[in-house]
Amino acid sequence: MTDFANFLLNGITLGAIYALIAVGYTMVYGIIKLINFAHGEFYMFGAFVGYFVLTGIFAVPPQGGEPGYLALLAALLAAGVATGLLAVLVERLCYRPLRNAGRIVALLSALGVSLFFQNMGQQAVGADFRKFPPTIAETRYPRSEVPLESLKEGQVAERDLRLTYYVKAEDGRDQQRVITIANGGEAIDGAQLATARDLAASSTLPAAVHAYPRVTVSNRHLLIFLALLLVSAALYVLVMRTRFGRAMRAVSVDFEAARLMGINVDLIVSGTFFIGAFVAGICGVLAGGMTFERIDPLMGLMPGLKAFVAAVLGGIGSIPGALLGALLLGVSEKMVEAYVSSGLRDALSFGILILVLLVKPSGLLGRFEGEKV
Amino acid sequence: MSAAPILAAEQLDVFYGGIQALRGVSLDVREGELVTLIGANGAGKSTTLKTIAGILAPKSGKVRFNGAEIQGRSSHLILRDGLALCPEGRRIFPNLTVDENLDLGAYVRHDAQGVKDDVARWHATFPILKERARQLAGTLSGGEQQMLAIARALMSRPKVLMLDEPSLGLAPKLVDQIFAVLKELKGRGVTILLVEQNARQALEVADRGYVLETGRIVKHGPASDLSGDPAVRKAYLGG
Ligand SMILES: Nc1ncnc2c1ncn2[C@@H]1O[C@H](COP(=O)(O)OP(=O)(O)O)[C@@H](O)[C@H]1O
Ligand SMILES: [Mg+2]
Repeated sequence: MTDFANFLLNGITLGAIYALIAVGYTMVYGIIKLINFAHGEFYMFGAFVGYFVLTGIFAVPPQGGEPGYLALLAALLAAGVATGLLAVLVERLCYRPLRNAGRIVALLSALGVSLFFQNMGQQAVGADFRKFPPTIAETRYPRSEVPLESLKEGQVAERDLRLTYYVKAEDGRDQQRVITIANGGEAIDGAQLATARDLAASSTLPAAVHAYPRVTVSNRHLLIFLALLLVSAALYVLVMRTRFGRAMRAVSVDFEAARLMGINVDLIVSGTFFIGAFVAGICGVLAGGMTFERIDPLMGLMPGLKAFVAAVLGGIGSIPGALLGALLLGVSEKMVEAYVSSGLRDALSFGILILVLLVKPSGLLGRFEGEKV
Repeated sequence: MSAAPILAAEQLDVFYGGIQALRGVSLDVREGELVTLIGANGAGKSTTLKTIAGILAPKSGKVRFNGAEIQGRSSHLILRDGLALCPEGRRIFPNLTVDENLDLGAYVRHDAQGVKDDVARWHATFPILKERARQLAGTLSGGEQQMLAIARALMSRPKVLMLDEPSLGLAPKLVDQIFAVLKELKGRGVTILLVEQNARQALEVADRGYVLETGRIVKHGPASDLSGDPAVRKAYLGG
């Protein structure tokens, strides 16, 4: 049961990551009927912008640097805005001139853009993985504090007991560390308890012992959930309640009629690219960076493809569909990984893609009418 | 009738690829007038309106609106200038509610209260739109969609309204209702350029008319003269 709950939680986290990428895919498709294969590269670009803001401006060493939430916010904003602007530029230069050239031509252009960014990325920053700074100290929830003095050797721990303490890092910052005193159900070991007391005594900030249940969630994952919640709510309000959103919906069905309303269609398309890429860029920092912890110029490929599958599963063009498809895909992948075989995980995703296309191309919530001829 | 026309097309030549659809089309509309452009299917009526509205660019010729040359200008800017087109086939946004369609008609306006008042006004003119205000526009019948399309085009408070076959595909009773609305709009002083295949009713409400045949204006004059013209009667009014 605990295992299942943990797999489910991991699946939802993965799904939330896919969702943050998939909304951009689906919004762009919804408005110009283009599958923007370069969208995964926007995610990659965002991760690198975040990386350079943290290591450059905030001078965080990639190994173990935790400058905290303010730096994270700055990295997220920079990643979002820079990626959004990049997407506007890509649309202007690579897609808009092809708008009347047919969908296949635009699709090829998108593939070209994707490969271009992968290769240019490798040229510019090298092909090797880089460790992404942890940025914020990890905390797991739920937890309850237990006084260190109350722990006795030989006493059976009801839950996992861990000590959080701090040491001075090379750069003079207080660096958080965590050690396990005893796992739930085990007796507390005397030597381990003594070590914990020593570490607590020498801690540079107040140390604390916490009891954790078997199923916990990291604050990094909570951040991803929070981002998804905010993004979903913001997109709902934007699309359904604002003038821009009304214009978006109009443009998505009829460019020409939208222009006849005085809508600057190009501006709406640019705005849509900006928003989708802004979210992907943020996701690059939160997921690619802080969750997977390693970044490289090809990191956008797989998540981009998975997000595409999620968008198709949910019904490409539909934002709620992308969210639903992404969560379903994330959970399915983690379940297959856990109970069947981790090797089948990717096969499952692409199997789902083929199945959806064969059985219900409109996806779960979509209104895809097929290719117009 | 001595005032300069508010809208004028001058010697428009328009092509689709290599095929010429308009040949030297000229027409004008004065403030407060209802002018109709009639002609058979495929004569180039829609092409004329689309060119004036900026959807198509003429190969040569000019469009003057409110004292400025507007040929080649983007259609969303032409709407902002005050020239609205209610396109053929209604082209309402089916995925938006009736009221959202009306609001989009007022996309370029920033007087929230005035927009609200106008929505109320069109609700009063077309009670069905009020009844269906929160329904998706795609669920309306053809006639209801046409009412919506006309109201939506007027939501921008255009100086001139162009209508492309507003009666197309409607039951006779609804056609009468559409023409009653046009008469009412004319009564309110709205300047209108009306394209119709239904020449008889169009000439009844219009002040002046133009007859388009395979891309050329072949006749123009006061509507009553055209209604009395034997050739026009034979070709467009059923004898
Ligand atoms: N998009 C198009 N591409 C090619 N030819 C077109 C197109 N639209 C209209 N035409 C041609 O141009 C001519 C005029 O069409 P149109 O302006 O739609 O006529 P009307 O509105 O009077 O029925 C017709 O011969 C029609 O076939
Ligand atoms: Mg026509």
